[in-house]
Amino acid sequence: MTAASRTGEWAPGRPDFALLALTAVLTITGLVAVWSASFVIGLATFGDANYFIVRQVAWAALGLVLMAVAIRTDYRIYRKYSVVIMAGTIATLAAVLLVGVEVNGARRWLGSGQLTVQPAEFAKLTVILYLAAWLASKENSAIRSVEHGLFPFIVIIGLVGGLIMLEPSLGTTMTILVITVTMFWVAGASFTQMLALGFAGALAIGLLASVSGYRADRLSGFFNGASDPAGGGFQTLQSVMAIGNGGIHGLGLGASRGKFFYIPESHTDGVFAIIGEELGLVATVAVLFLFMLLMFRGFQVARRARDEYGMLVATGIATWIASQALLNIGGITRIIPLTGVPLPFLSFGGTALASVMFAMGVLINISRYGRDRGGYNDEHSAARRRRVISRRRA
Amino acid sequence: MAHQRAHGTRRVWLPAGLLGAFALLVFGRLVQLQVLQHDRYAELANQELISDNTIYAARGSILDRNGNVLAASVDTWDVYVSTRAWKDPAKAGVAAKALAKALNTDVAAIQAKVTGRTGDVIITRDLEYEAGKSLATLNLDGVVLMPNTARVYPEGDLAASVLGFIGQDNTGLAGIEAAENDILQGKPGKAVYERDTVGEPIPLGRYVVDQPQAGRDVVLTIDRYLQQLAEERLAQGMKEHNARGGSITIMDPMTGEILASASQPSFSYSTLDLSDPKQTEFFKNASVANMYEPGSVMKIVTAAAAIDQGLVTPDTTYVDTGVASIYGIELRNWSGEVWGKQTMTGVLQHSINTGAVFMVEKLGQEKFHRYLDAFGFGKPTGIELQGEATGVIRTPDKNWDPPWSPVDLATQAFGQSISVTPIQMISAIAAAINGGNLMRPHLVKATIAADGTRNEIQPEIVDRAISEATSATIRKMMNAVVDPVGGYNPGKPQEYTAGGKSGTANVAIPNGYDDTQIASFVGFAPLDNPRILVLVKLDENQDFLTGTQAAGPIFSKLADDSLHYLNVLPDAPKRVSR
Repeated sequence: MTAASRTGEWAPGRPDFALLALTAVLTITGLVAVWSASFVIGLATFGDANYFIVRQVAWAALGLVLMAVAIRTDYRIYRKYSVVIMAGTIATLAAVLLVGVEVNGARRWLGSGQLTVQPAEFAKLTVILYLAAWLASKENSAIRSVEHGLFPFIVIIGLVGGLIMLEPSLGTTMTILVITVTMFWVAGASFTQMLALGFAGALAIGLLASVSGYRADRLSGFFNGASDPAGGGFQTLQSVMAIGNGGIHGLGLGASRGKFFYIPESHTDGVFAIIGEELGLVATVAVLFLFMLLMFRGFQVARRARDEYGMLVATGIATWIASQALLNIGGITRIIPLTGVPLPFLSFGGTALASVMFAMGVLINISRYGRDRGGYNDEHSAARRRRVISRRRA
Repeated sequence: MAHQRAHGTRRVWLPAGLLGAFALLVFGRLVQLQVLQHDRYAELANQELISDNTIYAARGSILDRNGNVLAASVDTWDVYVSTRAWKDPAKAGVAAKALAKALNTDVAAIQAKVTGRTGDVIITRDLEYEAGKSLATLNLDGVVLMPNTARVYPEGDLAASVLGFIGQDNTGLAGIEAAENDILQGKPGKAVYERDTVGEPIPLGRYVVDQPQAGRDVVLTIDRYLQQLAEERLAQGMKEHNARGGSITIMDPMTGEILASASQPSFSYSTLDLSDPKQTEFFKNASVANMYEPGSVMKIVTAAAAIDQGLVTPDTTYVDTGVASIYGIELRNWSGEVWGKQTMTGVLQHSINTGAVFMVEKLGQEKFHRYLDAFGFGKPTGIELQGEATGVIRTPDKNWDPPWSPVDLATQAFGQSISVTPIQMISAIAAAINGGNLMRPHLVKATIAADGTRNEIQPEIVDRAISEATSATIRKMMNAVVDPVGGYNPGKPQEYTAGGKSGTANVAIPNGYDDTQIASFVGFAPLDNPRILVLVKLDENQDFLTGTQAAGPIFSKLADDSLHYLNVLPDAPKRVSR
């Protein structure tokens, strides 16, 4: 027991080394996967097999710095500046729509030439930081009410989600919905509210998908893919075929055939298919397991967080990484429609990697103040322990 | 109260549980894909990835006996468009425009070929080599060039009926191209590789190549000059005498080598159309595929047999009454003439049918038919062309309709009731004059491998037909036909001693004859050491001229020109007046 734990003083303790290790393992796996999945496209598109991996390593280095800073920065500072952060986020997202770079019919990037960033990627983190602050400031009764809870929640989410939806980026919007609804629930929302949100969400997605051509194609491709391997379901069936072709042990690192333009976006959204093809079930299950481990560890941090804000931020980050990974893998394996989200840590994409690494830093920082880390040992927890003991006796 | 909620975090287990449950579902899906259905997807991936291409072996050339090229293959390109690569209309539009410009066609024509198709679509075949090279440098999206070869015939339609042609898969379909296909074609190779979405081989993919083995060149016995000569004379003769078809064959009677083979009707490379049913009958070589009744030319065979048996000599005489009566059937002479007392030489000179009956009666059916067999009638000669007819000889041992009668034997003696092909006829006459050997008629003199190794085809003796002495006698008798003492025959060459015999026959149709005629003339020169044997045949000549009148002069000129060309010294003094 450190001094802080005895005194209840607000001081950081030992970080969660498991999360640190998971981040390291996933990041390194990601660099290997991006290298293998991207050299063909790099060579074909830019005449340089190392085009993508060089950029990804650079972004990983930036992510490492951001993570180191975040681990050492008291997370409560984000709560203090949450409104500023949110305002900045909305301004940036609006800027994307106005002056963003358009690629393949979608406007998702800011900047030009060699340096472009994808604001929607870090928007996921800033939404978590802001929403946690907003929810933490509300009484339980307020959250459960319509006018102080549900309605403002929908307005906030609708604003951010709407801006990202307009890029358009259905996958990222869905990730944000899953994150925020989970946070809303953990913060104390009622079942009725959850049901209402679920119903509204399903309705919105259905509507959006039906009006947007290529997304509707993807959805129908999901349902008809098997009957038309080269047609609309080409993208999804190619991924499934590559994964199936990998078998238990895979074709060997670097030996993917799918990356020869069969699997679209093989170095970004489709990287999991390349992993499955080259390294087999061993690797796909390992990656899945790592994400689950990260999620449970993240929720553990949430449960042990020192305050409401930390608990909600940790919940948000754990939900974000886990849900986005499952959306990606589920889409690639055709359990759910392909929505086009990157696989955290593993897909090529600088902003995404840096944002996720920064988020891991925030999560680890929260863990340093957790009840089990020596930074927190106040009367509440003592009272709680007593309750548990008395219940057992009863 | 906010603090208390922080401790009520059992709520996180609901999302954790839901996400965990979904992860389990993903796990199950991965096991399904990568373990349970692995074989199926591996097979599917293989099907999609594996591509194989036939690598055509360089097809051998066809040369004439002096090495002049009659048929050769040149490298070309087949142009394909990958429909997958053209899925993007913008890319397809740019590529189609550039492709149309390169191929000198319009965009709509290319789009029409691609629209609604899957896989690789052929746009054009046999694009010239240089044009293909420059198209390749444009690097157009989805445009794939595959090497191919095209067959060219530098001498145009010369010897087309002998050479034949090849199909799109580079396999010979007619003529020497078909008959010698195995030699010419070589062994095609195969490339098996894994390909990417536009059909390019994957660098790391498995790649198996069977190298093609180049075909051999075929050297024909045909002489380009003599072939040209024969074709010109045939065309001229057909025009002059209003004939619907015909053939001129020039053979080296000693070896059976065919020096020229012109036959009509035939096809032209420029208008060749395999889908036109009217053309298919021209694809066969008429000299080997078409049968006819030879008429009086057959009397040489009858005489050879009778002399060889010692039954008659050229000077044996008999008295012609104009009629030979066999079993109550009267067989008459050509034009109903009565010749009185005649020698056997006279029988050939005047082409007296009753004389031929006189000889065959001495021979008897069995011996006569044995000689017909020894002369190669009634069976394929084995020449290197496909679709050879066997000919028909009426014999007593089969059920014929109308049934066999001894009258058939008598008519066969002067070339009726028997069907032969021109190639059979000329081979038989070759045996009659060359010392008595039936040589296999052949068109292939040698083959040459890609490395230059030359493989000569040796002349082949099929049968011994008659004795050398008989053969010498026949030469003299045939000489008497074209060069009668105090007489004139249009078949006599100007500058060379020669022998010959005409034939005029009606065209056999079931149970009778139609009213057109086949006029033929067979002749050789020089007399003592024959270098060429020529069979001229004009089908269905409407002028009702005899073989001597219509075909004789053609032989005469051909013999002079051919022997000049072959550097044979003239051995007959030119007659000043005729």
